[in-house]
Amino acid sequence: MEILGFLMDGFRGALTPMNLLFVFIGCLLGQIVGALPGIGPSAAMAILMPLTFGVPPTTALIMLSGIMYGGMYGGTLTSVLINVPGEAASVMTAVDGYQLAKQGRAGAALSIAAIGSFYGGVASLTAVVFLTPLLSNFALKFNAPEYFLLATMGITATASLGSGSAVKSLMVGVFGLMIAMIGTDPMVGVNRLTFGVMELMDGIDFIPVAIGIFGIGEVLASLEDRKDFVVLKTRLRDLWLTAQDWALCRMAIVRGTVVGFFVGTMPGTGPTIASLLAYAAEHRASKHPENFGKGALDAVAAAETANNAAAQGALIPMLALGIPGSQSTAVLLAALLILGIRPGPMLMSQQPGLVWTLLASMYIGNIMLLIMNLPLAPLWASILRIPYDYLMPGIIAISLVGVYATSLSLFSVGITVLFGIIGYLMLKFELPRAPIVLAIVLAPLMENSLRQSLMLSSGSLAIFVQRPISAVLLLVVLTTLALPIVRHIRDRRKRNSFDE
Amino acid sequence: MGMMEMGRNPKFHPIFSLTSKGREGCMKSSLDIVPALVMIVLSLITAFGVSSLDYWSQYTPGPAFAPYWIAAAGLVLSILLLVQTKLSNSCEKPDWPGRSGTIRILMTSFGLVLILILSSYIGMITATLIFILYLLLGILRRKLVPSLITTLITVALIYGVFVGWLRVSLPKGPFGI
Amino acid sequence: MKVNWNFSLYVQRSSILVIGLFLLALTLFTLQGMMTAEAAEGPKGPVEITVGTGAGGTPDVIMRRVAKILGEEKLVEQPIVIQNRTGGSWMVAVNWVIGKKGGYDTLMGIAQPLLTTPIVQGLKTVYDQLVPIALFVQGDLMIVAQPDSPFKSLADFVNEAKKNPRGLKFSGSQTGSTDHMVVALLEKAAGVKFNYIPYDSGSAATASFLGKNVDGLVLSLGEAVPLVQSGKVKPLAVLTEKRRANAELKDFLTAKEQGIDLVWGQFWGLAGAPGIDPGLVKWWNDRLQKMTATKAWKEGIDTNFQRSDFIDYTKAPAYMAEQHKIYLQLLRDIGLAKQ
Repeated sequence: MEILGFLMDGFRGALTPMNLLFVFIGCLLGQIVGALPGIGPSAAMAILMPLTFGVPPTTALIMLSGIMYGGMYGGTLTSVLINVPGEAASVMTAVDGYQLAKQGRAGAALSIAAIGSFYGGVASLTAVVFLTPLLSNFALKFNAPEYFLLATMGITATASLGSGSAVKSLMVGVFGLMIAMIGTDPMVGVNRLTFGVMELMDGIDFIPVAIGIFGIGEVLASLEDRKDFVVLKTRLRDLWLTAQDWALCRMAIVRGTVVGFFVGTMPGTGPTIASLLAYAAEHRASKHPENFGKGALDAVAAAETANNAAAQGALIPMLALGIPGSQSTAVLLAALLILGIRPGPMLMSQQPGLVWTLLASMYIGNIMLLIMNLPLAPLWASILRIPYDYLMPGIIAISLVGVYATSLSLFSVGITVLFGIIGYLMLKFELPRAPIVLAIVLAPLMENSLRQSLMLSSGSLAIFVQRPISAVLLLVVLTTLALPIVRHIRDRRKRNSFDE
Repeated sequence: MGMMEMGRNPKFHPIFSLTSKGREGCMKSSLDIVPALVMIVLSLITAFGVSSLDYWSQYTPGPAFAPYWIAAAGLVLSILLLVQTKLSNSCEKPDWPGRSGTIRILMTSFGLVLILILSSYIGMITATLIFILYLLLGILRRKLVPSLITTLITVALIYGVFVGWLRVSLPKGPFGI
Repeated sequence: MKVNWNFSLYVQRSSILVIGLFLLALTLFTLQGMMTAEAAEGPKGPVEITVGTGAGGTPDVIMRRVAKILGEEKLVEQPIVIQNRTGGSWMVAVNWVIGKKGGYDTLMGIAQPLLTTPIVQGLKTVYDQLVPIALFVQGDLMIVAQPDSPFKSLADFVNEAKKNPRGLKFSGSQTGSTDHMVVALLEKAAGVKFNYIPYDSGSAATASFLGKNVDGLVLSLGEAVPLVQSGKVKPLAVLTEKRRANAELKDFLTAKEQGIDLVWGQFWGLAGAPGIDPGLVKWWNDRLQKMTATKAWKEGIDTNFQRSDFIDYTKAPAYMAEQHKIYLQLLRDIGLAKQ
């Protein structure tokens, strides 16, 4: 009850005209930068921080956090409409969302993403409001062994992603792992597979790779046939969700919220990993896993719900411990420092006004974003009514400039171009592209966590079963690995008896 | 059940499933063979690239541990893919575009490389402008006026957002943009 | 014709979009308060400060604070933009600035990787190609233990390590980072061995410590004080020459007081591109000196428990050369140097 009182005070603070204005500005800016390829919410928060100089710290934080979760909504737009992930956490949306757009269902994909993001955001926020101290202790129980098993879970999902043979999907996953090996090994500081190229020392970032293989690859493929084609052919009113869509996605949204929120609260992960894991989890839980990669609406719902749930979940370690749960919360913490407020475990007790106003403003912001996105989804989708020929040069140009903006180096642009060509060739050789992204993001987490685990245990593998959460996760991993084999044996028996 | 049966019914094994579009009596499927061969090369590069590093260090896997296993997985998978192709007798080839399509794709790829090189000399905005015109007029053969309008709108949008608003310092050319 | 219809609609829609975005950009320009007034001397256009970390890293936060205060106190009329050029552990950033020979609008944030990355990676030394303007932020460090551990002091901690070589665990950021060097120095000073577990970032290492996976942690004072006050860590020693005077810090013993000769810290500053006009170096030096005297700056320094001893452009090069020698020696001692 005490918490409700604080929250009411928070709303009183957040509902002043000035704060409302800044919530709106933040959400709008987040929506826009989220949609821009390359530049993600964390970079945008840093770039736009000077906008907040001169306003009170609470108002400044309200605006910056608006960019943080607004970006989660905005990232969907470019992923669905032009197959270029707007920000890192929307990459899995590009896989299925664009296929939906090609089928004339861009509006449905955008609508479900908006609803999912809203649900995930508000549910997580409520958990943050009521359970922060409890959950921060739980989040700390996740360390190297648990991260290793989580990453393993995600990586093993690559086998079943994509419509071709499992061997091909796995091979693409291995290719992604190879890319992830490039760079300085953080554990011992030696260079691996950099072949003397300085720009490779920090490894290959996955944003340029994803923009290349999805965005540029798709554009190149579109050049094969010379037709005057328009991507979107359907009428506006066909763009809304049907009752059937809703039935399909309801549980995906709930599952996405749970996965996204918990992964988001862990200090070592973030919205990108959350949405990847939610996608993989949904693939296992879905009644139609065969549709994944070909335009599954529930896949979009799960991934988009999870990234916003994770964006808010990341507030838990930030508020309770002063540790960022994601890149964006790291910038929020930096903003606090620049504004002269010392973050840490006592932030909630020392600055209750600031914290509760911020949380209340996030409820308001999520509502604003829902309004901004849901009725406008068909309108955004109608961008696809522009003849593709006139849209395409812009897609390439904005992708390349956006990639440049992430690292301010032409090297990343080169990576994008290279992977654009690789992406096109992968399309031609019928290789699924999603496993690469999964592998690049999860490989460092998996490798480093394994090594950290063994350092923590002085070399003993028992660490994976001694820790309760780790033991449970290990069981889940083993079960998911064993399941297809068991199923196969069962099918074979059935077929054998049928043959006889 | 023996290998013969599997050869006839590739759907039977989970690993060999779902690529059974091939026709009888053909032994070459560049659709599978090329990726498998590329993977073998990449695996060898990965393995040799880390050969000077430690496989194990004290308690834990060393820097070469993961790359070795990844390379091994790459090799095993590519060999598996080759065997699978051989057994399935499939003859699939990538669905390459026609002559004019291929030319368009090659020219566009060339344009992408060009934008990369030109950016550091004439500035990224100017390079982008030239690239869009080259794409619309040279490759897509669109009409002049709509192409010019599209180019202007696109470049103005990029300039306004990235340079004007976000203050990203894009590579500049001699004219200061 | 169908195409024409589509096209006119497209032009109409995109023009609305463009106009909208331009209006937005314009509003934001105004909000950002672009200043056009000409300074008598000094930079002639917008200034860029390049840093090698992403947004949110300590050097990034310091430079953003510098930019904010220089602007708000009207010490520099031109807008200052922080550019995060990541890649190659600062080497991409520094090479970019070195490439701007004589540039009047390009500054570089100085941080430790500028000196240590070339040593660790076996590259050409780069710090001496830049022209240091001033070093003006120093950060002190603290070693902490678990709050429920039996150790009462750093001496206790070290004694345990003597009995149990490699038995005590430290989490910290990547190999060759400040955390790693401090642990190596402690090993050297006390003649013991620890089990150092590198994490991807300082905050991941802190999370690992707070999850009670390890025994020791190196923190900056700004990170340490809130954690000490909330009872989540137990302070063992501050790594300064003398005890710090702040009310929150005066009770923390130094390592030296406990008989362990370990003094270590971090420093940050600004440098110009090679061949920068000496007059401009002095101009920046003066502005920064004025900045460090402002109330806003001092408050920021106090919030983070940093220090702001001003090492000006005449002394900074020698100071950096000396630091470089120390880093080189230490990294050679712990087998990380490739130079």
